[in-house]
Amino acid sequence: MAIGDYDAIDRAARVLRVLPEPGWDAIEDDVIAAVRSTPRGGWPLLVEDPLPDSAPGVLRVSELVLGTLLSRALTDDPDSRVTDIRIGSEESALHSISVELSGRYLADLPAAVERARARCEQVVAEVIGDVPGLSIDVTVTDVHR
Amino acid sequence: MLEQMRPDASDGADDRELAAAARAGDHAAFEALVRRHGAALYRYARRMTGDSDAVNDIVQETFVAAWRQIANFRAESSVRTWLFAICARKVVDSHRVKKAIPIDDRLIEPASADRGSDPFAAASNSAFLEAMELALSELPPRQRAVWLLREVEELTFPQIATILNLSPDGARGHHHRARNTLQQRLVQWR
Repeated sequence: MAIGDYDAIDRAARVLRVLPEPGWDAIEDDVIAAVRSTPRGGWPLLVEDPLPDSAPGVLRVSELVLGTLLSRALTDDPDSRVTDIRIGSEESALHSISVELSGRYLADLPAAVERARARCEQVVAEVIGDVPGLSIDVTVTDVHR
Repeated sequence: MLEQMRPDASDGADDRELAAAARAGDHAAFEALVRRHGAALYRYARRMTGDSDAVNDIVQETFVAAWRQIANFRAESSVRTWLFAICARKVVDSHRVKKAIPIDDRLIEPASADRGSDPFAAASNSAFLEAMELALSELPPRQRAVWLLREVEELTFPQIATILNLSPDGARGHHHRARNTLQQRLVQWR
């Protein structure tokens, strides 16, 4: 091998890159099960009781549940991709949702923003109920092709 | 409306979208990241440690830690770089890093004495790759880590520097030394 001639090593690297990893295949499901069983803290959000006075107590839902549903509701828009979702609450009362999007190049981004806002409102209405004064801030912070 | 949502639209999503969804709380999005990057992290951890049980633990702990910490991930680096950084720390913390073990030169002699032969064709890859793995195991851990991240995982030197807590020039230096060592150890295969 001449000095600077790394052809065989480069080719080996390419082969190493695509070799199967049976060890990973064997533990993949266990790793996912371990992640599923790992709790993550999320703030509780008060839910509007659909049947008020029918039973004592209050209903709450984790902000992670609301975040998951918001992200799934915003996933399939052809003109935007979600890059961040933040949920603001105070004393368990939802008060703000902030969504950052990457917009598709040359797409009608104001329309995409309005669609995202409408979807957020719909999810909040279905999960939490009526939230007076809720601020939903949707911003396009990046562009993609 | 909730019934009409796609339960898991992760297949076509890029890492940044999946990370945003996982940060918001979506397990399915995070699981897509696990499936997408698991084999690469396993490949790295396997070559950096000498103990298969330790590799399993390292990779599992990497993803559990990533799930716990993802609320703080703000995309200053790529998801892939971030995951490798966690994994690299887990490798070090495991105290199972495979030390550089000098090996007998006879172990990496070529299968064919013909210097002009193509090692991949002549040995159907396997003997050459075995020699390559042995030569890799000879490298000091940091050089091995840099070479694997650069050549196998195709990361940039700034990304490698972030993962291994080095300067980009430091990463380049380790890569250069690793490459020269591998070249010398595998000279018979040319």
